[in-house]
Amino acid sequence: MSCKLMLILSTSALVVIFSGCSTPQVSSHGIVDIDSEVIEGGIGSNEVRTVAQKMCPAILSLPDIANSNSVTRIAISPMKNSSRFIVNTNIFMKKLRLDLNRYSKGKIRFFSQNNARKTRHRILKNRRENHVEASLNDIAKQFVQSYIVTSSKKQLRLATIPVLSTNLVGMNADSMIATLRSKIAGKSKGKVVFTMPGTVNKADYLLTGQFIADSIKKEGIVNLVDYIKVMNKRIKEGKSLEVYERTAATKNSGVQINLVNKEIFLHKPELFRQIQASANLRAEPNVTKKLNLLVVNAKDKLVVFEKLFVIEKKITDGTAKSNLILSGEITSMTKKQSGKIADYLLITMQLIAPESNEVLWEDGYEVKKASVTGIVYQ
Amino acid sequence: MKNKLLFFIMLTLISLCGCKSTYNLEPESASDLAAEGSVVVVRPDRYVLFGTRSAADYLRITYCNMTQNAGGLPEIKLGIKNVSGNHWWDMGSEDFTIYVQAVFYKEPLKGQSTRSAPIFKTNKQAVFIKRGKTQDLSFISPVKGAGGYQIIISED
Repeated sequence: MSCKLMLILSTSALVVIFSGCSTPQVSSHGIVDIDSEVIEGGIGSNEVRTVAQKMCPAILSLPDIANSNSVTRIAISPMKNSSRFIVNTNIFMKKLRLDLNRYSKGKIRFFSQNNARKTRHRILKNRRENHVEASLNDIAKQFVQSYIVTSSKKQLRLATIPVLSTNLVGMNADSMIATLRSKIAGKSKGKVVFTMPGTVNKADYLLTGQFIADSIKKEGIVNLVDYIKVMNKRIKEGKSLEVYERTAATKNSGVQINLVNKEIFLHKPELFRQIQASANLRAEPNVTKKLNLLVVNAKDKLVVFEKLFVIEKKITDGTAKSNLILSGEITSMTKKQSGKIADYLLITMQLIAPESNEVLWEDGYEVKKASVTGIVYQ
Repeated sequence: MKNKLLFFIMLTLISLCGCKSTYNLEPESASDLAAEGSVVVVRPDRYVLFGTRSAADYLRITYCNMTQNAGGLPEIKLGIKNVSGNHWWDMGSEDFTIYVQAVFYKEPLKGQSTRSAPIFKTNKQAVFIKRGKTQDLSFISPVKGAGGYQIIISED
């Protein structure tokens, strides 16, 4: 083979070999400028930051905030997204809240409306236990120092009777009466004695109370312990646990358990199904619970000593103290034609007075964006 | 051959002595800092032989001042005009987007050969300017006490 032909062949071979090589497309990650639009179109970091940086000084300049010597408390309402974009609207509020916290120098405070709720509830619940113990100690001391005990020349005999529930269902405060009883007995140093639980013979006074929920309706729980007790009893008696819908009309309303033959009939099975399905009814109601302790004269049933104390306060998120509500909306208007899309975006923020529902302040940021989509994939 | 090898080794050793693990950064020239104005445009991505790629050639300031708003916060008001297409070698005028960032300082900047840390810096805000039109921009700092400012304009 001639040299020239060899050269041509080897060059061709090299070209063929190298044209088959390719650098594979590898992913690359890097930090880019926060405000740069790496991908055009839509709502991005630039909009989030621009909105926050326009609204923050505008809010701080409001006379109600700038000239006020006291702290302004603001509750945040979730931002509404009325645009065509799938946006995490929380990020607008978070960024604005960050800037306001940073630059208001303590003049503005927010409520933790979503974060740390479980931890907070746990802490408050733990604190309640100490509070109840301290309250019962205090009441026992007051009763022992009261006129009824100090003026009595003889030993006083008290009996305990179950606490009356005013509007609480499935719950009772008998354990507190039992605790109070032992504290009174301890502090009285023999001046006050109690009869055996369940007996009221020859008692001078009765120790009882009223268990009250700060609510205009009945509050309570479907007590699992009571339910299990009923079920266990039926199992021992060989009765069925099936639930059947009563076909005959009944005159009673509400849930009633009627044991007929071997089945349990319920007048309102829908309600029962709701009870079974609803987790709220198995959880302790979040209402302020009070105990009105009563010492009653056994003869004439007159209350001679009465003390109301709060067992547990309703756990609130604190927003009742808010001076203003911060809310907002993302609205957009879109036009499409032959693969071209134009979006007009209007992002607004408002401050609303909770009592009057007036919009005290409102501002907006508007931007228009154009993008092109491939015709094939429309 | 032996001499050449020795020479090569010595040259290598001398070169290695010049290697350091760290190098000092030179400070910006005081005269350059002092010459910077209140409104600056970042340098173009590259310089070309003919024409210009700098946005400074397409933009003019119509007004620029700093006042206090009703809440006592410093506010910069800036007017920028698109004057593109004003050269014989560049007659085509364009609408374009620029990014504007405002930086607030405690002291006025003019003539200052040193800089202190800014008291507040806005983000880069996108501004679309139509050819021949003036855009009116406003930047408010949530931090009080600004005595000086600088506006930085870039293409991205």
